[in-house]
Amino acid sequence: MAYSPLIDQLVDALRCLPGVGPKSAQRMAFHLLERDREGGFKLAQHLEQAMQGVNRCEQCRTLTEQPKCAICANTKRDHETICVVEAPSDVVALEQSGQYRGTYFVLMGKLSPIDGIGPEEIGVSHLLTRIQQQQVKEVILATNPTVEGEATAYYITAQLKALGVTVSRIAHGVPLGGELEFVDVGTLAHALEGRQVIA
Amino acid sequence: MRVELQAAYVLHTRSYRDTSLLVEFFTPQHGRISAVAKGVRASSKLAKQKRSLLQAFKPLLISWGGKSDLKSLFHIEALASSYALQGERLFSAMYINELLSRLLHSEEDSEDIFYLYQQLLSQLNQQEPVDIILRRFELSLLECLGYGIELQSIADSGEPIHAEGHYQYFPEQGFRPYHGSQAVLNSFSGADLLAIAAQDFQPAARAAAKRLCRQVLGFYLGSKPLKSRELFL
Repeated sequence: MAYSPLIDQLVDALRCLPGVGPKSAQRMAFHLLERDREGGFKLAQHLEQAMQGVNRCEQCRTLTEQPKCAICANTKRDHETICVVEAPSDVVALEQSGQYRGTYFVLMGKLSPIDGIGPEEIGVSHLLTRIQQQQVKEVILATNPTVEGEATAYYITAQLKALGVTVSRIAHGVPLGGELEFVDVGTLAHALEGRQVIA
Repeated sequence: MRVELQAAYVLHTRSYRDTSLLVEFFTPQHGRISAVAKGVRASSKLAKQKRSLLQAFKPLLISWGGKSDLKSLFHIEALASSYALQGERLFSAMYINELLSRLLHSEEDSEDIFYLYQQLLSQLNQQEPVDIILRRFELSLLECLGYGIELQSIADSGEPIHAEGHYQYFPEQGFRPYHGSQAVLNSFSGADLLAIAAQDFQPAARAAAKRLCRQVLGFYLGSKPLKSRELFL
C-alpha cells in the first residue's frame, strides 16, 4: 500500500541506512511522525549540519569539521611518525591505549578488489605525498590482521620502499590475560614467528 | 535443504547488520554460494574464533541450509591451516578470487574448478613464477566453464595451426589466419599458440599467453574491469 508522497519519500530516504529494509524504514518513519516529532526535527537538523560540515582531514583523511583534525593540528604530537589504520574507529581505539604520540593516516577502507576498492580509493598516493612533504621517519602499519589488511600493508610497504622511511607492522599475538590453550592456531603461529629475544 | 560438512573456501565477506557477515563461499558440489554467518562479528570469544576462520585462502568445512539464494551458515571448522601467501602471490590469489566471484555459476557442480583452485593455492605457495601458475589456471578455468580456447586448429575449417603462421583471435569463434603486416593486439604467432597449448611457457609464449587470457577473460567479464589488476605494480 502506498502512503502519501511525503511519507513515502521519508521511508525511502531512511532505507539508505545500512541494515534498514522497507519494514524497518517504515517503522522508523512512523515512530518519528507519531511519537517523536521533536526527535525528528533534531535528527534532521543534526544530519544536515553534519552532512554540510564534516569533511576529511587534509592530512590524515579522518572525518572532521575542521580543515585539520585535532590530532593533526596538535603541535605537541610527533609528526615524524605516522600510524596507518583502516578506519576512524581504529584511531579511537589506539588513542585509548595511551601509548601512541604520533599522528595517523586513515585509509577509510582496505584493499578489496571484489568491492571495487583499489589503491586510489584508500588514498595511497595521498599518503606518499604527505610522507615526502613532511619528512616522516617512521610509518607504522596498523591494518587489521585479515587477508585484506595484510594485502594493504604489503602494498603500502612496496610503495614506500623507494622513499627511505622505516616501515613497521604492529605485532599480533596472544592477548593480555589470555591463555595459550584458548588462542586459535593462526594467532599462535604468528606469535611464535614474531617472538622476541629477551636475554 | 541442509548440506553437511562440505569443503569450502571463502571468496569474499562483507559486513551485514550489526554483528553478522555475508560470506561468499566456493564449494565443490554447489559452486558459489552466499550465506549469512550470524553473529560472527559479536564480541564473544566463540564469535571471534569463527570470525578468524572466515578468511580467504583457508580450507574449511561448512554446513549450511536454506531454500532461498541466501543460505544460513550453521557450522564452520578449519580443515587445515591457511595458505600463508604474501606479497605478489597474495595479490594473485586475490585476483583469482575476484575472477571466480565474477565468473563462477552459483549453486552448480564445480568440482573440477575447485580442484584447480586448490592446486593453484598450493602452487602459489611454492617457487614457480606467478604468471605461469596464473595462466595455467586461467586456461583450465575457461575450459571448465565451457569457454575453452582451441589453440591448435583454425576456427571454421579446423585446419591445424602452423608454427610459422600468424593468427588473429575472435571471441567465441577462435583463431583465423592473419595476413596483415603489422602485429595487432589480437594477433598471435602460431609458434606461441602451439607452445601455450603444450603448456611450454617460454618468455615469448608467456607474454602471448597473458595477452590472450586478458582478451578472452575480458570478453566474458564484460565492460567492468577487474579491480585487482591495479594491485600489480
